[in-house]
Formats: sequence, structure tokens, C-alpha cells
Amino acid sequence: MNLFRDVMDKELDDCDGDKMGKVDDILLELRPDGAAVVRAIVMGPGSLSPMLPSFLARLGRWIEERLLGSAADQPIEIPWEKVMSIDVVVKVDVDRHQVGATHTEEALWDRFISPLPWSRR
Amino acid sequence: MGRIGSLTLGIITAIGGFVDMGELVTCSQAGAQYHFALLWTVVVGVLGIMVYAEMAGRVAITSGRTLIDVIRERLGWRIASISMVVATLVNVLTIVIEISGMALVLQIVTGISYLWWLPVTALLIAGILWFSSFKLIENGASLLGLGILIFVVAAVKMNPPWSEVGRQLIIPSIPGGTGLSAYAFSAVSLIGAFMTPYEIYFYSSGAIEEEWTGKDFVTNRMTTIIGFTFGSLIVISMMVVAAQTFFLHGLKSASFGSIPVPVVSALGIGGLAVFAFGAFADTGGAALEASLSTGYSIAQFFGWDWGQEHNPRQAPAFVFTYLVAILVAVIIGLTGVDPIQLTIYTTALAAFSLPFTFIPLLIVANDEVYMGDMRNGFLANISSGFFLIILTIVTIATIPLFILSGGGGG
Repeated sequence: MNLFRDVMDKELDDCDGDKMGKVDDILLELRPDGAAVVRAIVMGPGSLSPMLPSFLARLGRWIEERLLGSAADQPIEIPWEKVMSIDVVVKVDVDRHQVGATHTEEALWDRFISPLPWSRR
Repeated sequence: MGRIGSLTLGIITAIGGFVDMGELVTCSQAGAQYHFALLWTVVVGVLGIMVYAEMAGRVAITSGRTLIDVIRERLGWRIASISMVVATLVNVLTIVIEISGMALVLQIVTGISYLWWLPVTALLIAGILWFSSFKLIENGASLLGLGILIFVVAAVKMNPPWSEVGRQLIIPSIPGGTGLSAYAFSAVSLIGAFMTPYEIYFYSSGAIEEEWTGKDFVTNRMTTIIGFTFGSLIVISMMVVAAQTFFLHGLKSASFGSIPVPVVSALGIGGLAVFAFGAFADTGGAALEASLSTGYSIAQFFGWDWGQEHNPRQAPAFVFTYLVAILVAVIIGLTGVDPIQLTIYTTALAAFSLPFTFIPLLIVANDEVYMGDMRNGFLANISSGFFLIILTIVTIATIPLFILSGGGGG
């Protein structure tokens, strides 16, 4: 398997088939014998920040704090063993709510969208 | 609805939805200032949008993925983020000019300044998006926007020298005594008006919203070819009637109020009523599509839930994004920035931004893993490559032309 072509940047679906984000990065572990093994899929708010220029990362964090009330300290890591299938999307055996993948959407709903009229129709 | 019915509806909506504020302003000014000498841009712009919209639809049908999805998956988040940010910038400016267009129509009808109408039109757009389904948004505004065909009726009534119109459609010419940089900047703005990024993102996401399958390849091709061809007749007519009314009498088309003058002179006050109805629906439809496109591209980049078939609880980040885009747009509009000048700048910026969308699209459309047998053929690559070269020249030339022409003013 080509990790970059087949996994990176693909849509990530949870155990119910619901969208939970994108595969933003892949965490590898270097074993004492020199072999690299895939440890986890990295996703969620904060996962792209380390790859951005520092001023953009700071700006992103500032916007996130203002909009969501708090910024994610750490990106979400989904153990590689939880990967169920890799096709057009990457499906993983976790609940998107339990791992905090819907933090951004939930915060936007609570703070901005739910107070609007007829939002709960 | 049967397949023929939906195909007919697709073609009709492509015609009705072809015109927006960009075309209304740039075509009127081009006809007034350069007579028929910029008609050739219609051929370039319409063929270009035809080729790339068909490609975006084909990619969506084959891969089941939207444009931003496939750009990110195949070319990585860095390139996808550039496409997304540039498209968002142009989309927000497009929303500003479209809700301003709606407000300007209301100004013509009521005599009350468009600035008072601006918050009303923004609220109307937000309200329609909040309550309506995708199909209603896509089809409703475009069907109502067919009123803009009044320009074709006016052109036939004026009976211009059609052989000259036909010649200038194919052979570019520069009228004597004209500043070359201003002429070239007008050409860039026209091409940007015909090929706006929101149209491509909307078309790509619309194919997924409507759950197009392999059976819809014909719908995709026919909608783009027939719909856009007939759409081009409207913009040709707009330029021709402006040329016959303003240029031949040494007049300029400097305000929004002058755009329907040729229609009124050819068809009377009834023509003005049809124009107002059609222009309001067309600019409104474009505002809806540009707002949705903003939500689509950002939500798809981050992998959030998206889609007009979701209620706000199911896709809150998508809804939040387009509502913020409309809010930012109305704030920009209320600063009192001249909507006509802003339209010229926005369409030029749209032309400047096109390669950031079209180059990744072209790469993906040639990707065998994603596209299989439906990847670009020789003809698609030759034609899209040709337009990409033109657009790249346009992108490189836009900013120097803007400076040389004194902001397009000549």
C-alpha cells in the first residue's frame, strides 16, 4: 500500500459511516530494529497547525479560540488497528463523537447556529 | 421526472442561470465602449467554462467525490488549501456584487437607494438557503431568471448588422484610438465574468447533491454544451444591444441603471419590467450559488458534513460558513464601495484565480486511478490545455493591466 496515495488526505468515516474529517497526517513509529510501523491516523483541529508557517498557525489558533471558545491542544490520534477499510474513504471503528472529531461542528452549533430561529426543525 | 424531463430542466436552468451581475455589467460596458470588438471573448469564455464544467461533472460522477475532495486527495492539503482560499476570496466578493445587483434592481423599481435594500437582499438569500432544498434553489432562481432572455428579443428587434456580429465573434479586433491596456483589461474582466470559480464548485457539488450516477454522463455533457451555448446567446445579445444603443451615439454605460436602457428603447416599459424580474432572479440565483460554493469548498476541505439536503443540526459548520460569507459580503457592500467598479475588479480577480482551480482539476481528470475509462481523452486535453494557456496568460497579465489601465478605466 502507498500510504500517501491511498490514505493521506482521504475522507475519514466512523463506525456508523458518518463523516469525521480528513486524514491529516500519519504517525509512524521507528522500532529499535530500524523498521517503521504505522501507529495512528492523525486528524482533527490542530493536526495541520504544525505544518503551517508559525504566524498562520497562531492566527488559526486565535480564530479557533474566538469562534469555538477553546482551541484543541492536541490533534486526535486514531490507532491504526481501528482502520476497518481503505477505499474511496477510510473507515475506522470509532465513534466520531467519542473521540472528539465533531468538536468544531458541535461548538459552532451550540454557539452560533442553534440560537437562530427554526434551527431545530 | 423522467430522464428527458430532467435533462430539459438541466438545460433550461443552465440557460437561465448563465447570466449574473458580472455579465450584466461587463457586457454592457464592453458593448458601449468597444462596440462589437470584444465579442470574441464570449467564444473563449463560454467554450472554456463548457470544457471545465463538463470535466468537473465527469470527475464528480466517476469518483463520487467533489472537486475540493479530489484535489486534496490527489494533490495534498497544501495545494487544496490554496484552491480553497482563493476560491473563497472570489466567492465572497461575488456574493457582494450579486446581492448589490439585487439591491440595484430594487433601486430601479422603487427609487430607494440600493444601500437600504442591501441588508434585505442579504437576509433574503440567507433565508432561502436556510429553508430551501438544493433542487428548489438550483431550479427556482434559474427558471425565474429566464426573463433575462429579453436581451435576445431586444437584439432581434434592433436588427444589428449580424454579419459583422458573426465576424467579430471569431476574429478579435482592436478599435482604433483605444488604449490597449484598458481594452485588454476589459477582455480579462469579460472572461472572468463568463468563467467564475463558484460555477465550477457549485456544479461539482451539485452533481453529488443530486446523486448523479453513470447514467448522468449524457446529462452532464448536454447540460454544459447546449445550456451554455444558449446562455452565450444572451450575453452576445447584451453586448450587441449596448453597442447599438450607447456606442453608436457616443454614450457610456457607467451605472447599473443604464444596463436596461437598450431593452427599454427597443421594447418599451414592458421590457424594463421583464428585465427587472429576470435580473433580480439571476443575481439572486448567483448569490445563492456563490454562498453555497463558499460553504461547499470549506466544509469539503475539512471533511465536515455538508449539503443543502442536511438540516442545520446535521451540518452546522457548513451552514455557519455560508452565513458568515453572506454577513461579510453585506458588511463590504454597506461600506459604500461602488458595486459597478467592484464587479469589474471581481471578475478580473475571478479570471486571475481560475488556474488555481483548473490546473488541479485537469490533473485529476487525467488520473487513471480515479477516473479509469472516463479520464480525459485527447480532445478534452487539447481543448482544456488551450484554454489553460489562455487563462495562465490572463493570470500573469491581470495585475500589470490593472495598473496600466488605471484600474480598468483607461
